[in-house]
This record gives sequence, structure tokens and C-alpha cells, in this order.
Amino acid sequence: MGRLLHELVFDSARRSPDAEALKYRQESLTYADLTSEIQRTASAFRDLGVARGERIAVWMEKRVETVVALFAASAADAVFVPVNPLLKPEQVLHILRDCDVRMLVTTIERVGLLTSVVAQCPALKDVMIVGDADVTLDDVAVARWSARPEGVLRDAQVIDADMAAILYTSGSTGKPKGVVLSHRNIVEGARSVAEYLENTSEDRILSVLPLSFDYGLNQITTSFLVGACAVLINYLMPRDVINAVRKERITGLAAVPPLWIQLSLLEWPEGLDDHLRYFTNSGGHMPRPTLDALRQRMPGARPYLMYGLTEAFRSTYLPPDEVDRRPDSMGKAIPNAEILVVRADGAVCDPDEPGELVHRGVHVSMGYWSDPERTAERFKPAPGRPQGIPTPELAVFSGDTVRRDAEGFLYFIGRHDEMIKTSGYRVSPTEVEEVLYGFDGIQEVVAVGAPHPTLGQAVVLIIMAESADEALEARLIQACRQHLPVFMVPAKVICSESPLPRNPNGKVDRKRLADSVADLFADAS
Amino acid sequence: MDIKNEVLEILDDALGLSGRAQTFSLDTPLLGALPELDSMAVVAVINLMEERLGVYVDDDEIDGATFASVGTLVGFVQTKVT
Repeated sequence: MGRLLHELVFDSARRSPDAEALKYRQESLTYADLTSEIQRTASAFRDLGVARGERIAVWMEKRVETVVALFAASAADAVFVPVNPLLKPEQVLHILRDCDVRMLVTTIERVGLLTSVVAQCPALKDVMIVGDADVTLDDVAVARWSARPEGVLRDAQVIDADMAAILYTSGSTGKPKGVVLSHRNIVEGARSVAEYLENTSEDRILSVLPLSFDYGLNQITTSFLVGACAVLINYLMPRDVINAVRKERITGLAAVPPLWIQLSLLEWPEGLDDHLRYFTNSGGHMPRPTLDALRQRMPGARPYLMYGLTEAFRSTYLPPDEVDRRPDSMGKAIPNAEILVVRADGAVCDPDEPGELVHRGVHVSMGYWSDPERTAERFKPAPGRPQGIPTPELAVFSGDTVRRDAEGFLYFIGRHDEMIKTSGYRVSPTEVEEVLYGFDGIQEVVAVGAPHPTLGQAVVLIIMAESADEALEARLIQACRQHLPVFMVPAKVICSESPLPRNPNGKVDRKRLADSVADLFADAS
Repeated sequence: MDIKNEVLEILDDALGLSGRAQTFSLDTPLLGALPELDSMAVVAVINLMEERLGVYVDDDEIDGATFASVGTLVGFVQTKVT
């Protein structure tokens, strides 16, 4: 049984060397192929002098080399740092400097963007380039992916308690921070998810999401754990995803709400659910009309509604059998995790009492790289530890407010730092947004708090609509008035004809939206 | 009309490439290779194509393959303007 990340691939190769492991466009690798590519690359990393625990960043679109590089870092006793391919050089620079990246793997198309970045990264010694062209960079050695020597890989020195990866995630303040994941975090995360998704070697799992995102990485790790085939795609139009599902006979599809919303608006060819066994949502609440539309388009596929935060990899899921009974629930803890709902003093909440979601167990990550202060805010001693145990156990305090009903199902209420405080009441943005999900004529809706001279904050509704006019705004306000207590009714509606801004993980960027309305009521006193 | 140059200028302006597009050849890969090009930004590219080239592009006509490289995009635009 594999304990280290790369052993997921090596073990599957021992069981079925000829099974298809990875597919990208016309390229297809068996588990035996993938293992030898990982071994060759890991041995090249070692030859270049990468030492145990050093960081190897990978800044490339999704392609075979990207996956190979991540797993090769593991096989070389190093640590991989997947960098979202949509980031700009400024954000890449932050990551390379923040965790003292030793080696960068990137493509010939991208390396030109990094010439000034490289000079500002004293720890960076090597850049390995995928693609043909001669490049020289000041201050670093340039290696070619195509020139990796054939080498013999010695056995790994690390154990599963050692770090395997750093994933960068945005917080409510400051620059993105690096969540340090151990081999055990990732491998056990894959095991927990594969267990409830009932993944087998027959699966073909589409990798749509960025691998820099824990949920995106999970499609690859679960796939390799069970010996299934991971199919990579860089999509541009939502229809590209549907075409890939059909062409590759995909059995499992994972996406985030903004993409699901787009997918639910498209025509789906008949019969996709002949092979599509399940679909999963995470990264935000799936609006009801979207879920209903998706289920109608693929009645044979089982919907899994999931919740997780990078700091604890994955936390909860709602079993598909429960979706009809409680479609708004985020479910229960994933296998081998315990989810607690606690008060500010750490005491466990009563049923239906709102409290903070706390995750304990094997998925709890190792903290934020080089950031003890922000780590101490999120990683705290687990509540309920028997007093006789003198060592602390750290749990992740999510910052998310949830409640647990009498039957043990969890419901998301809101995030502390997105919570709107208006006229003395706390208002969760989702409470406002839910009223307008499925409202005729609007495609996306977000509620944020804008500083207001008399109310503290005022609720502002930002919507995406194909044709926005005053009549639509009036109808929205009318609907809110009809369904919400007066203090929750938005003071202002702002319409956008283009999709709302996203953060690099594809979630709606609430912070940017909130910033955009910061001065809205500056003159209202 | 030099379609290739028009397309490169459109890419440069719509994606904010600050002149980088002028270094592109027909073989330059776009989707995946350009950090600036994603499912949101492609809307700006299409809008600018419609505005500058006087063509109408339906959502159904394009997919990731259209944007695989400069060459595939130029090929698509050629079918629209002739």
C-alpha cells in the first residue's frame, strides 16, 4: 500500500502496467510509461542537485510533463509547488520567493515572461524548460526537459510525515499563503475521496480544474490511487468540457459552481450518462436551479456535493442518496475525518446552533509556509482532546460558520470575513443570494457589504445579466423585499453584462467585488 | 487585409500582451501557453474580432481547438471574412 505520493503511480504500475494512466490530446501513457517517465525525471532532478525537502515549482498548463514533474518531485524527495497557469509573472514571483523555490519547471512559451522574475529569486538555481528553443537566463542554469538523461533512481528517503507539496491559496488578508501538505495528507485525502466516490480502475476521470487547487489535484491522485485513467484538458469554452466527456467516455467529472452554471445552460448530447457515473461540486454552493438542470441533463450520473478547504484538503460530502431530501446540505465528514461545530470558546454547539467548522484528522495540513502568525489563527489545538494526553493535536479552524442538524447533516451559513454586518444584524451573503438563484434573466449573483455611513455596511447586490436595465433592478429588489427581512434587502443593485471576476481557482472573487463597491455610499451621509 | 496581423493586434489589445503578440508566428500555441487566455478573456477577443473585422461569431462556432495556435485562429478568421 503506497504511502508516498509517487507510490500511488508505482503501485498501480505493479498491479497493471499496461493500463492507461494519463491521457492528453493524442498522448497516452500506461502506468508503466508514467512510472518510467517519473523515475527518469526524478533522477534528473537529483542530478541537478535538488536536495531532500527543496521546492520545485511547476508553472505550465495542464499537460503530461506537468503531471510527471509533480510526481517526480515526490520521487526525488523534493516538494512540488504547482503554480496556477493563469497567474501573471508578479504572482509567480511571490510564490517563487515566498517558499524559496530551488527549481522551476516551465515551458518555452512562458519562460520569456520570467526573465526579470528569475533575477529576483536568490534561491532559484535551475530552470527546466519544456519545448524546443535555446534560452539562456542570467544567474540560473537552464536544463532541457528533452535532454533529461536516463538514470537510475535510488529509493526515497522521506517518510509520509514529510512535506510533499505547497499549495498557494488566498486568504482574507495579505498575499497568498502556501499551505504545506505532507505525503500522508495527500495520499489519505485521495483514499478518503476515492472511497466515497467508489472509484475503480474502470474510471476515466476528467481533470478540468487547475492542479494548483487541492480539489483539482484530487482528480489526479484519486485516479492514480485506484489505477484509473486521468484525462487532462485545458478548456476554453464550456462546450470543450462536454465534448471531452463524450469523446473520452468520461466516468467522473469535477467542477466548481461558475463552470457548472455555464454547463447547465448548454445543450447536452443524449446518452452521456451511459458512461458518466458521477459529478462532483466543490469550491462553493451549487445553486439549486443549476443542480436541477444538471440532473435533468444527466439523470444517470450521481451528484456529489462536497466541501473542503485547502488547509484540510477535503472535509465533507453529501451522499447522492440524500440530495433530494436535503439539497442545501454540505453533508457529513469524509471518511477518516471528524468535523466539529464549535462556539467561540471551543465548546461544541447544540444541534442547529451556528458555530465554526473545525476539521480534525489525517488531512489536517502542516500549516502556512514561513507564516507562524497566520498559521496560529487557523491551526489550533483540537477541541475535546482528553486531558491525559500531554501533546496537542492541531485541527483546522475553517473560519466558516455552519450548523449541524439533529441528524448530523451540516449546513453552510457563511464565512466570517464575508459576513455582512448591517444595521446591527449579521447577514450571510448566501442568505441574500439564495433568494435570487434562478431568478429570470440573471446568470450570477453575489451579495457583498459596502461601508455605509448609517448602516455600518449596506448590502450590495452584484449581478450578471444579459440585458440589464432599471426594470430588472426593480424586479430584483421587489423579489428581495418579498423574501427577506427588511435589513437584508440590498441598498443597491449593480449589473454587469460580463461574468463576475474570478480568483485563480475559478471561484467568484468576492473580495474584488467588495473592493469595487467600497466607495459607493461615501457621500450618503 | 493581412489577416494574420489583424489577429495578432486583436490578441495583443484584448489580452493586454503589450506588444508580445508581434513576436508570434503561425505555430505559436495559444490555449494553455498564454497565461492571459482563459474562458473569461476569450470573450474580449471575440468582441474585438467582431468590432474590428465586422464579422459575427456565434458561440457554437468556436471551441478550444479554434484557439490552439495562432495558425488555427487565423484559419478560422479567414473563413469568416471571405
